[in-house]
Amino acid sequence: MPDTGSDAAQLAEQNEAKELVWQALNSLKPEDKEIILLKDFQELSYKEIAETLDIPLGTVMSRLYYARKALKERVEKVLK
Amino acid sequence: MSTHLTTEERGEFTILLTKAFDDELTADERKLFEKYLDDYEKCRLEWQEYTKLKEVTKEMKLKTPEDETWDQYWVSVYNRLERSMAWVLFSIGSIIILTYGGFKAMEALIADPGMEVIMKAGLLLMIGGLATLLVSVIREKLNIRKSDPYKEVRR
Repeated sequence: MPDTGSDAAQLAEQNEAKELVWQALNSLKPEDKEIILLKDFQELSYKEIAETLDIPLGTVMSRLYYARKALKERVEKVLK
Repeated sequence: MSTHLTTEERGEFTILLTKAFDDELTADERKLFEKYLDDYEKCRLEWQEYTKLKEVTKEMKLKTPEDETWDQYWVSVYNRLERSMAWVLFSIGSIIILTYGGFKAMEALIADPGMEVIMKAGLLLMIGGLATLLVSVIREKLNIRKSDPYKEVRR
């Protein structure tokens, strides 16, 4: 018989983690939030993001790195 | 094992890590990335932290709103516009009525021979004071709007 109790607990934990990430995402600077949404949520390619934002390809990757770094730090802060 | 990357290496690793996060490394880039992870503990730790973030964000996707949601959204936009226009028209009408009505009332009171002079003087001073106050506030607001360096800051 499947253990539905631990499945429900795991699901609740996942949902809580997602909620924390959303809170952290919403607290980012607009340009950081924008690029994370375009890449991680709307799944645009680097080229599409570069065209959308009218920035060079290298800048897309660099901005993504710093935006994700900021998100990671916010998530860690929220978890603490 | 070294702990310090040069500025150039830092820049290169930043790009490789971003591409690794998005599973977009070429074969050669993958080898170079793994070399960074092997040679620099800081890089390895950083990648581990990003991997945890990736595990959470990959499960999160934006939901496409249903048609009903869009319909309700446009209805609410229309309602808000309609009500804003109604308030603007009501406000303009009220200002006209109050100003003209007030002016006529003051004119009648001041012209009334039965009213004491002191009352007339008091009324005139009151009107003069209110008008001066209004001009002063409007002037201050206009000056602030022209010279406020922080007007773009959202409070």
